[in-house]
Amino acid sequence: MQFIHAARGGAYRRLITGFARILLCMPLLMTASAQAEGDELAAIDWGELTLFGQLAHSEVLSEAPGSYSEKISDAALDALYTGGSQRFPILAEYYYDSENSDRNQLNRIQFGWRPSETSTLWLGKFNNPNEYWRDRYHDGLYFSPSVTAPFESALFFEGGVTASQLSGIRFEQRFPLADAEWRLSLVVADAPNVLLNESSDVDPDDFYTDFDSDQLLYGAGLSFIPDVFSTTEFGIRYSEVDAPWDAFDFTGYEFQLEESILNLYANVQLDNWRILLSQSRFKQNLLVPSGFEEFVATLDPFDPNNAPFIAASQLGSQISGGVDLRFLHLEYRWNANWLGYGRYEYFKVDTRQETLPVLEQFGVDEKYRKHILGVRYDFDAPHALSLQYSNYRSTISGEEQSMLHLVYSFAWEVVR
Amino acid sequence: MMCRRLGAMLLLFMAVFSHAGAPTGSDEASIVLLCRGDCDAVALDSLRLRKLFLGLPVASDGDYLQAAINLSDPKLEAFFYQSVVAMSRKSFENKRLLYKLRFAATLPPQFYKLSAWQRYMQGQEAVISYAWAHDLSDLDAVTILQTLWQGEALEN
Repeated sequence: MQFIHAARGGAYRRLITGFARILLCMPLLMTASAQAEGDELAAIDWGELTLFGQLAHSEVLSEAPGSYSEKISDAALDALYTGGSQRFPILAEYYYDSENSDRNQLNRIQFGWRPSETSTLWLGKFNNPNEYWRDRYHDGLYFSPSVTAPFESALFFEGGVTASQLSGIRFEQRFPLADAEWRLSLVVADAPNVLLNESSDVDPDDFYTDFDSDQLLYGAGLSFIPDVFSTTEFGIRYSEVDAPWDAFDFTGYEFQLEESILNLYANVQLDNWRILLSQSRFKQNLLVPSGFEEFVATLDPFDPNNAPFIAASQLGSQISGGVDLRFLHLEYRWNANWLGYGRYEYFKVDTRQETLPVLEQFGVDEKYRKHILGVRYDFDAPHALSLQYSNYRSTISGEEQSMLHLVYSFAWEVVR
Repeated sequence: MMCRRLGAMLLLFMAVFSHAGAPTGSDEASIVLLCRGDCDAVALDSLRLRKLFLGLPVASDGDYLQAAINLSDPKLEAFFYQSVVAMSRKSFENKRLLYKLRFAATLPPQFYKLSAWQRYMQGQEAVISYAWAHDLSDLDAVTILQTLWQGEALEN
């Protein structure tokens, strides 16, 4: 069963990746021919290729042993192709990370249909709209106001409702109201894999497998933008998945997983100030099948790899948990070049005490408050240099973790 | 805010149109918003005009409008940023890059030579742009949608 999932997933990824490579190469080939034939072809819409990239140098000023730490790779590049027409837009985006090969992937490939100027239906792989920051600011890089996204120290797994990208259908509807606009977003997507982070000592491939691919994730978002050309936005987003979970499928037992995430946010621009507030509630219910406890009794209790199974069997028929995530991000722009920012992040796991040791095994703090301070210099061309300091105290070790990042980021339109 | 924007526009016009050259007399020049080709029922307010030139979808009578950015002389370029899209060049570049990333917005083609702009305009079924009124003589099937600016003619 696991093998079939993996094989099907691999073929799907190869197909999508191959298609994306063709798409991304098209503008380069077309540019060559356009240059050869002179100005006449310059006006023809070949699509556009834009690169977003960053180079980073990070210093660990103090380390909290056992905690998951934020990490920025030395180099990252995002290649974005946009083309098609206004009625049928196409977008493809490939992300390359110099140090984390798991992130080297086709982040997005979207085929759009705009039946009217206020409606767009996207089919393909797209950013998860339930994460406002990621949806709004992409994958960090040039457009992100800070070097790291919120809660990079906390996200110990990726998948389910927290997946960065989803594959499925995304519908966007705008409701113009003079200069203002309401925006509605609806998503139906293939429920993505839930993976543990690589920083854990346990190889996730050993026991975490895909959701069944016919399980769906639903999401909805509603936001209000007082001025369509400003960054100010107020909104609410919700998504959920309710699916059989094959995490321990080799045991022959099928778990049922219910996940949801609710996000309220306000992004307010007031002259030179910008204030971004976000409050999220992540909930997860794992229904343990009968008979699982007897199976776990046969496992070696001294093998740390078995800890999650043993903990799960001791928590009854339903394992419930939640996480509170909130942050306040403040920015002040002195002029066109200089920007200063600060952020306060609050993270708290809401679960039974018995579960906390299992979380600690994966480097997850029960609770933390993180402070970030940064300054950014924007050059006249789309290049920027950022310096960011972050600090938080781990509940696992009681130690402080402090990081310093120096990041150069850019946007470069290769073909336009 | 509005006063500041109006003030900035006034200053820009004074800088561009008063100091760049001496008036030639009573001749008047104007910058017009135009549509070339099949332009029935095209109606654009300032908000939709900004969206159009930022590459966002703007439809008229069920068809999506095409636009062309005419940067064929420095005065038109300054006029475009200050009055058509109402933002600095840097803000415009950032905004359209962001729209490309978020909405797959495609920037209208930009032309730095008048001849290239005229050839492009002539070759399209329907396209919205802006130009000096006296540069339109080589184009056929042109509909003037509105006069964006009018003043004394200048020597180049």
